Order: sequence, then C-alpha cells, then structure tokens
Amino acid sequence: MTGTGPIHLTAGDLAVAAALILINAGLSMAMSLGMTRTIGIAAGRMVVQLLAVGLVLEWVFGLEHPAAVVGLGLLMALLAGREAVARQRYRYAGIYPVGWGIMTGSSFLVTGVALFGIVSVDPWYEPQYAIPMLGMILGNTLNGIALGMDRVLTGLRREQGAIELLLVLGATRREAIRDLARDAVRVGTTPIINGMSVAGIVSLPGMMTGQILSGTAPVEAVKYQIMIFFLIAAGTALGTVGAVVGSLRLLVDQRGRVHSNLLKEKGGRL
Amino acid sequence: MAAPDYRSRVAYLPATPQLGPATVRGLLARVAGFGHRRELSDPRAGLARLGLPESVLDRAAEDLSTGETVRVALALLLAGDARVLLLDEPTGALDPPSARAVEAWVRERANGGAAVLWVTHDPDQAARVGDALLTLADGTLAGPDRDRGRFADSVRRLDPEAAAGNGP
Repeated sequence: MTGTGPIHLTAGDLAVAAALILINAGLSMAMSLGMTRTIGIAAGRMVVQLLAVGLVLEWVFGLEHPAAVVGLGLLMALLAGREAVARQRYRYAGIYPVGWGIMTGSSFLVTGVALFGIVSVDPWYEPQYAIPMLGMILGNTLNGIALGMDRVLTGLRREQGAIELLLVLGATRREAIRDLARDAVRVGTTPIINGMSVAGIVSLPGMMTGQILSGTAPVEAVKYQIMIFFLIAAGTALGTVGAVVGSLRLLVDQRGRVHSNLLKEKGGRL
Repeated sequence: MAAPDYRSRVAYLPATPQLGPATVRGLLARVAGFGHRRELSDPRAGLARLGLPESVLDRAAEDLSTGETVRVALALLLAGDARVLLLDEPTGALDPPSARAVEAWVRERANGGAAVLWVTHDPDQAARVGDALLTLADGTLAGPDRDRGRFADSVRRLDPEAAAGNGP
C-alpha cells in the first residue's frame, strides 16, 4: 500500500454521522411524508447488516482457507440470485433455481478469470481480492438479471398473441421470440453501459473512491476500477443472457408453443 | 415434420389475431424473412386487395382497428403457400365489401387446391362460400352436408340469434 493508511473512525465519529439521519427524519416530519419510521428502520438495517458482514469477513479473512472463501461466495451468489427473482411480477416454477444457477455461474466465471488471468492473485483464494470483486459483480449482475427477466416474462404474458401469430405464419421458435429476447438483454445491460459512459464524469465509482480514501495512488485505483468495469460488464451480459434464454427455454417449448399458463402473477407484496 | 414447416402448410387464423408493436411494414418485412416461409404472392398487394390503403403500412400494427388487424393477418396468411387454411370467423369484424374480398380470395385459394375449414355464424356466408357444411351443436359435430341449397337454413336453425343479426 502506498501513502499512509486511512484515519481510523471511532464510535464517536460514527455517532456524529448517524446524527445526520435526523435531517431525513426532520424533513419527513416537516413535509408529512410519513416516512420517519421507514427511514429509521432502513438506517438501522444498514448499520446492523454492515457490522455483521464486517465480522463475517474478518472471520473468513482469518481462516485463510479456500473452502471458506468459496462457501461465502456461494452464499453471496445464492442470496443475489434470490434477490433478482424475488420481486419479479411474473414467476414460474423453477424461477429460483434459474436465478441461483445463472447468478452463480456468471459471477464465478468472471471472478475466476480475474483471479487467475488478470490479477493473478497468489493464492487465488486470498479473500481480500476474491470477495470484494465477486460482490461488485454480483451487485450489478443482479440488476441485469432482474431487469432482463422482468422484460421477458412481462413480454411473454402481454405479447403472447403477437408471438403466436408469427408462429402461425411459419416462424421458428427462434424467429418468433428473437425480438423479445433482444429487447430483454438490451434492457438488462443498459444500466452498466450507462455506468461506463458516465464513469469519472458524472460519477466517481465507489470502489475507486474507497481505494483512494484508504491511501492508494489515484492512478492505481483507476486501473482497478477499469478492470472492475469490464468484469461487471461481462458478468452482467452473461447473467442477463443466461436468465433471458433460460426463462424462454422453460416457457416456450421445442415446437414454439408459449406456455404462459406456467406464469403466475405475484400478488400484493412489493 | 418440423413445427414451422407444418404451420406454414397448415395456416391458422385466430379469431382475434394480435400483430405486436412494430409497424405493418416492419411486420411484413419480418415475416418475409422467416426461413420456412414461401409466398405465392406479395402480401402488400394482398393488403390492397382487402381494401387497406397504402398508409396502413406506416402505422403501428397494434394500433389498428379489429377489422384492419384481421385483414393484415389475412393478407399475410393468404399470401403464404399453405395447403390447409383454418379460419376462425375471418370476417366477423369486417364490413360487407371487405368480407366479400376475403371470400373471393379464399375461394381462389380453394380452387387452387387448398383445403379450407371456415368457421362462421353467418348463414348466407355459409351458403356463399361453402362446399360442405359441418354443424357443431351441443358439442356434437354433424355432417358433412354437401347440398349447398340447405346450408343457410341449417345455420339459421342452429344459431337463430346470429342469423337475426347477420341476415338480410
């Protein structure tokens, strides 16, 4: 590490930061937003979740064992996969395994490429590299999968008649669902493309700023950020395509028949 | 037989076809690009034949009226080289001149060797276009009756309400 380490934060420092939440609470009350309670709960969750994950990470870092790193990675991928499908408007039997499988496959593949082929971490399971990279890839792939799946499932339900008319006119399954699949992949990968377009101009990516805060030379932090963007873009593309194609394979059979009866609309809970 | 080949030969017109969000021009181009599609005639000429103006090409297909939608679907279907046509009330939403245009074109395809199964509630239409009448009442299929003189009466008997609405 170059330069000096970061200034350590004390509990008192955090208490001052936490007091800033009173701005949100005060605004909510002044404008009768009715969000005071929600803000409090969200802030509380954030603190508890992050403290807990800090402790888990310290523990895994201390173990220095590949199984611990892979195990934590798997758990993270499964939770991300669950999150990607949990809020889908339309679901089908097997949507969770698809989410878990695609999330794990795409993120592990891309993280593996980074660990073995780019950063060449030795040993590869050094959690200081594997876990944060996997986390960043998961967080973005999750968005891609969630958006792409929403587009494809909503589309199957709403545009079933139009897809079937194309089939009636002699389309193959691939020809009939091509536009929907393309659209879904486009929707899923747009956020990361936007993110890359404005990186450094509109937004200073969190990872880069974090490294700079902890004393890394800016150019070194930028190089890492560039690599991370490529990893995230690849992971998002793989995950989105996987989720879209996987869903279509389950819902449109070999002869092109659309089984939208397998889609169940989710009720109530947001 | 592969599903797309089968569907190209046994063409089906749903009672309420949906054309999707593209323009009619885009839809026509897309269908023309299907690998299994063979065309006997140009569907654009078919649009004109069924009474749709050229301007319909640039409209979003899903914004068309029910009658326009059916005619676009029929133009695509009848321009293909299907050997069997399954038509579910193809003229239900059409004005009489358009309905006659559809009848004439389907008759032409039938004379050219295509087998046509035409579902209708209109007794006079049955008498005009049918060669054989099958009647479906209470889940029982009867026929075929090949005496064209009786078609209109048979349909009226089965479906007095529709006959009253559609009859002269």
